[in-house]
Amino acid sequence: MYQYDAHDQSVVEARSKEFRTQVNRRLAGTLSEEEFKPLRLMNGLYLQLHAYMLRVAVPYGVMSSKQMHQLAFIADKFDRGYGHFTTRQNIQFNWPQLVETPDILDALAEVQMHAIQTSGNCIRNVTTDPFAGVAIDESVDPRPVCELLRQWSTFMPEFSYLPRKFKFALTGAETDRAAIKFHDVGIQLKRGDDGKILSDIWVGGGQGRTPRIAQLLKSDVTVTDLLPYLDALMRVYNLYGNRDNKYKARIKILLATLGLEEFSAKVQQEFEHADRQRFEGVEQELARLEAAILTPVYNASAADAGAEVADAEEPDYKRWLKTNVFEHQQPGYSIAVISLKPYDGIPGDATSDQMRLMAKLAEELSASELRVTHRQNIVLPYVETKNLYLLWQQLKAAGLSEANIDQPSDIIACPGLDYCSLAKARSIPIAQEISATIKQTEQREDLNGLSINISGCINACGHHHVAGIGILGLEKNGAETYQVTLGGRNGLDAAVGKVLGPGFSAAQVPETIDTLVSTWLEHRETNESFSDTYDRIGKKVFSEAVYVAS
Amino acid sequence: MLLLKSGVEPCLITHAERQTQFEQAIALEGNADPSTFEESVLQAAALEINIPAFSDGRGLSIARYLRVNSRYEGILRATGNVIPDQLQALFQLGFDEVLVGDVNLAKHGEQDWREANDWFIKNQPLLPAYHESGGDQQSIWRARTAS
Repeated sequence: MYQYDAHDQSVVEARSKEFRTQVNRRLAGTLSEEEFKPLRLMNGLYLQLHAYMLRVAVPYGVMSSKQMHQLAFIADKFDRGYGHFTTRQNIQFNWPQLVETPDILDALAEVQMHAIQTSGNCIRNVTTDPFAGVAIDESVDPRPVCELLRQWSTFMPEFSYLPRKFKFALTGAETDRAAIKFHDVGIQLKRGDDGKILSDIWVGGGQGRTPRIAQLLKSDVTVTDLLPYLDALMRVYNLYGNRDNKYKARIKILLATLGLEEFSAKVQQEFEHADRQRFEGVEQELARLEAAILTPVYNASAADAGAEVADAEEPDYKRWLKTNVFEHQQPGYSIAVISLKPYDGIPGDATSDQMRLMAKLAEELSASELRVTHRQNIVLPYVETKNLYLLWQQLKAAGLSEANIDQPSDIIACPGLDYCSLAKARSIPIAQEISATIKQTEQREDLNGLSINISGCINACGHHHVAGIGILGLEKNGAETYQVTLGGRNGLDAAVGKVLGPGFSAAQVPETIDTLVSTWLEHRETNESFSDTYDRIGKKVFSEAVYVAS
Repeated sequence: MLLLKSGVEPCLITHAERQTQFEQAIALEGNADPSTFEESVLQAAALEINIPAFSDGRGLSIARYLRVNSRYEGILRATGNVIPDQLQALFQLGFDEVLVGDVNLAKHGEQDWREANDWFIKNQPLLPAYHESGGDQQSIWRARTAS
């Protein structure tokens, strides 16, 4: 993975120093909360329902064992012994004290980490495929371009006060594991005939209260043109984006107002005026990053060893191999995913002990590297296939061997009413109940191809729009009510789920999901995903099953 | 209070006093569309951009647009609702001076503004950026290429 040079280190240290003065001015009262707000947000510090929340950046989801160890240390010293991994590949701490936050930033800077731009109306952490560099369907390893974008978007004086937050996601693979079409800007990397990297730029995707699938803005942008083009795009958004209503301030609304043609013309005009001097040396920088993001030295004899070891006939292990292990570019190696979705747990949470164990396992079995996934799980990207059983045994002993990656119980849920000041309904307890209900079906049948996502309000942080079954918590006459949507997809075939019908009470949700799953299984053709079945047979079959039954 | 990018000590000066030094200074709103500015605006010796809210970043893009697209070479002054933490960004994007009004000065205190200005003038930019130069310091990418 990428290691900081002295310049990168000076950036995070300078920011930590600056934030300490801002916290002091806030405590002294010369900065009002209103003025402090955008400054703390640019450093990942939110004010939640009960306390501050600090969101730490895990740039494009990649981290080292050493960094994971430090996160465990921070969880113990400054928080309540746990952290929450997010859908944007970051980690959040829910209980820090304001006066201690500069110390946390210092602790992060010690291991080349920061909380820069993890919130606020600026460019947020760039996300990508958690299998970057090891995925079998990859044509371009997106990590060097991600790091280039991370640097480009860090402390941009011009774009630190945008109309609203701004999110980039990149992929270089055939299967989109980064949901690029639901980001403000999604970039698909590919190779031109000459082998050079080209980018297709998608714009205006997003979830929230007005879900939109991104539109293709420009194809085949070269590395030389990429940053000037994105710079032009950002300027058009900064100048013309709506600032009167925060719910109409994302770029998707500007795109809808202007139309793709006019928006594209404005960006093109800006691009032609670009101050190219500022971007001189970008190709050399990308080459430096490509060289710096080292793939570990693979063990050549790994390919000769068998995947199965003698006593690996245990059904739990075999099931885990099937759901949590993915094919690797390198023969003899595997990608192992650690589920942070235990059937009775909180989706995406990890205790400091679990963080330390994952850090240790990465150190011993995965070249000291881990990844955070968009579905809030942890990837060990470089595991020798012959070590999988050893890995599984250690995960099992720590309660981290849940075999449910990409299964219905691999639920994305926002923090909901238990933490969030915007939420209208609880998400976490609903996820726990669904997970407990579906456990038996999941272990009996192959439910691959159904995702369940839960949001506690229309801001859609739980990505309910893009799930096979989406659940949206609302408040109706003072009570929590849950609306169900069906048929969402977050890949390159992106689709927004459609509302099934009237909402349900919290108590009705698990049985409703159960009915939807059995209806799916009844009509499912071989290996068909939930959304494929839904598209084929239509909503009526599902709504009749649910509403007639109840 | 007038804060200058050029390295001159920041001085206490009122808006009216500064305006008399630039009779032609044209006042522009910080939410204007820079692509619609008339030629007479672009020929003015000084332009003053009134930032409506510190959280409104349009003034920053207006400055860059004026410097890059319109090749405006006159004096560019920011005023209105800005905070000391934005001083570096304003200077990096092409503003030459920031005029801090009485209300703003009373709110943030002369010391915070002076400190912000001192950082920029004496120390180097507080926050080095990868592709934006600040003060006399070159951008990080340029520094890497040079080394």
